[in-house]
Amino acid sequence: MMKRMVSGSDALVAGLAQLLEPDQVLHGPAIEKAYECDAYTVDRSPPFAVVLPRSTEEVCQIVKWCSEFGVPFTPRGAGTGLSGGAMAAKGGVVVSTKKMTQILELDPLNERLWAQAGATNASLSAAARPHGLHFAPDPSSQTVSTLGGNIAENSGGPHTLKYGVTVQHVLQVTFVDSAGVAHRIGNLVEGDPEPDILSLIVGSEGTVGLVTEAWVKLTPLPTEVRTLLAAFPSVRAATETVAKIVASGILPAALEFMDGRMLMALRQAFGLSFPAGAEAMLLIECDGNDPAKVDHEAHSCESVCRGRGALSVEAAETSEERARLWTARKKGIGAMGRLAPTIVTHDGVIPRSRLPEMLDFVYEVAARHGLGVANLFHAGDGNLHPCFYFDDREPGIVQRVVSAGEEILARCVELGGSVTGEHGIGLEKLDGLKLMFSDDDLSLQRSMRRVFSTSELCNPCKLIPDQRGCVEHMRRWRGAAT
Amino acid sequence: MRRAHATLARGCHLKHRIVGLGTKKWLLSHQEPGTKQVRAPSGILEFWPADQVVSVLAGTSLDDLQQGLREQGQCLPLPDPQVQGKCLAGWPGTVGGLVAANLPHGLWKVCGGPRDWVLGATLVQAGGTRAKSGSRAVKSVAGFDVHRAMVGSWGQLAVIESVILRTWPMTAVPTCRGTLVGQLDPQEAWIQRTDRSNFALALDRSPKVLAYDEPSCTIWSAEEPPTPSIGWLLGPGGRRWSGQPVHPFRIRLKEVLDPNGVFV
Ligand SMILES: Cc1cc2nc3c(=O)[nH]c(=O)nc-3n(C[C@H](O)[C@H](O)[C@H](O)COP(=O)(O)OP(=O)(O)OC[C@H]3O[C@@H](n4cnc5c(N)ncnc54)[C@H](O)[C@@H]3O)c2cc1C
Repeated sequence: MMKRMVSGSDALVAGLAQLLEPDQVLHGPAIEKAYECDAYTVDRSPPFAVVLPRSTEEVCQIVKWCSEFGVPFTPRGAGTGLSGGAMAAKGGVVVSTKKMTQILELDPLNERLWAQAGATNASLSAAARPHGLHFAPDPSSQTVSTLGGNIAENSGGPHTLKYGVTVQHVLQVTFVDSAGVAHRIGNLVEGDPEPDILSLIVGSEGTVGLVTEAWVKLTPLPTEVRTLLAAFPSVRAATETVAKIVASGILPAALEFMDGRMLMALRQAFGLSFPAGAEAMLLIECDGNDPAKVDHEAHSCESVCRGRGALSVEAAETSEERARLWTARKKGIGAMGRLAPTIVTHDGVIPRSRLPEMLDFVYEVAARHGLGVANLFHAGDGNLHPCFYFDDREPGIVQRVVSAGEEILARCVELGGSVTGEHGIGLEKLDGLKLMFSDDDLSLQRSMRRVFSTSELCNPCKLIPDQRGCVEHMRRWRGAAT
Repeated sequence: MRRAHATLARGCHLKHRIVGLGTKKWLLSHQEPGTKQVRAPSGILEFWPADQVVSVLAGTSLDDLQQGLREQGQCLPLPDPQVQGKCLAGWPGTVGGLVAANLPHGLWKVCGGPRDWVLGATLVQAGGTRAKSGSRAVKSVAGFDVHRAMVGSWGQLAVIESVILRTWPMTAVPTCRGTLVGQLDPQEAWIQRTDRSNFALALDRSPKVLAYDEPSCTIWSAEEPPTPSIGWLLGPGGRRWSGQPVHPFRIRLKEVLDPNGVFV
């Protein structure tokens, strides 16, 4: 289609204003600043305008308009993404789902729920809870991150070790393609005998269109939950415990790791106390509906911990105590923010049996680059989150953090893992993808985008490396924070 | 019958049918004369019991794979065809067939299906290019999950050469709660899945039920049942109904991966 030209941001905003109510089109310096990045703050690029549609129909109109005038558009949920996915890489329009927060239908008998994409993850579970159900994916950002963002990133969380990541909990989506046409993809009943297109949309990081609504699967809440917090005298003892628990065939609902530096941050920030001599801790949760089986699993985990030299293993007896044991895990990232002005959390995955050697490597890399690092991560999945803390005013330090991260990711791939377990490729990890995949593999990846569209307007420069016209833009936004 | 990448040379326009052990042949449309057959190689490539992950060539029989995994106390969570019958066992053939057909089975509700187990795959595309997606990590969001798009592809998109699968400790696999009504080893069946609201009625209306699995709302019957009001139905000769027309993106996926329509 021939693109009609709109020049200047005023003309652009005027065009959008004809489609929507005044409170649905935001622009101006404050908006540009607020939307210039997501929770990955290294790269920044402001949009011309932010639009807040209320319905699938309005999203279709906006996308058709962008397509007609050749304006790039970027879907955005809560902006908690950690790889720059919601940054307007080529400027243009940010399409925010902030006003699309309705739960449209709850069907407890069939264990499913239909919601708009801007509904928060936590609101889905809150709606389902009175029926003894919940939405199982539980990213730590769940009180704010949206269903659309979770779908786009295929998000995980502490309990996805047992329950699976977002793709395993989405039945059908309403999806607006990059020409502005709405489609229903998927089936309310799983396993239909057709190629699984839905699995390509989940995890596509908003690069092939916008999800406006979704039917998700609800999972019964377990009646029995046992939570343990085990303290270890060394990181090695804790990581070996993780490998041993996984290898023994127990499948905990969650198996989370915190190292000594993280504990120190938690002590300093929130006054939490931990057993003397603790250099690492594991939070282990077993759940199910059969009390004897859940008890057995919890006891087995406890004996593995003690067998590996745990200093203490604390068990929660009540839901209040369980919440207390989770406090350290949940407040970890917040505590890091108080240790240093800047933190950068990396995200890589390794086969879980390699955790002990991998953690040794993370500390060695940090020491070699003269950086502080703390670790808090989903150990049961082998999903690392080395968290570097630093003062970005120190000359050269950002580059050292980037180099350290690259070395860690390269080792993840060498060990048979992945450059990202849940934060996505976005624009942060475009080069990382090349570590994992050959040219032929990448060309297969590129071809998947063509299934949905040939337009380059939808969230350009993300997910797939070497896209046309992105290099010049990259110079503009790369390292814009420093 | 030849190995996939050798057969599918660049520029090849001959029609090919990807075959495994032929256990699900009755679910495919009639094969036109002159169609070549192509099969994936077989064998377990690597098994990492401590990680509960296996990499296996897609032509490997499920029997062989299960036996290899059992030696380390692990398995794919599928019912035993000798005990529960072929229907509830998901009509086992090869690993490639398991992924490509994505048939339901009697442990689905608790253990999921191939879409939940497949972590990565190597594909041979029409034209012979070999490409992979995914990894052996149990969690990865690096790029499009092309391996998952192969689930339910019925040999129409590319040859699945090998897959990386998540395995289960045998001790963690629950007992199958499906009910076998007919024979252990039927020749063919109509397979339908619906939701809980419609399951009792669908079961009641299905003629000659062979087996059913209430937790996953699946019914296998010897004769064609009425189409469920919600869900999907699959039958002999490639007949299928999913309540919606073939989606343009599915057509487009075929055009992108197999532009000359080599795989039939
Ligand atoms: C403190 C903190 C903790 C976190 N913990 C976890 C965790 O435990 N597990 C985890 O997986 N992630 C975690 N994250 C990362 C992030 O929260 C998730 O990726 C989340 O799913 C993003 O949701 P969002 O609504 O904020 O999306 P955004 O950040 O707004 O967008 C993320 C991506 O999705 C796209 N997108 C958003 N909405 C749509 C839509 N409707 N249609 C199409 N594309 C869309 C955007 O274009 C972008 O590419 C964490 C982040 C923070 C800041």
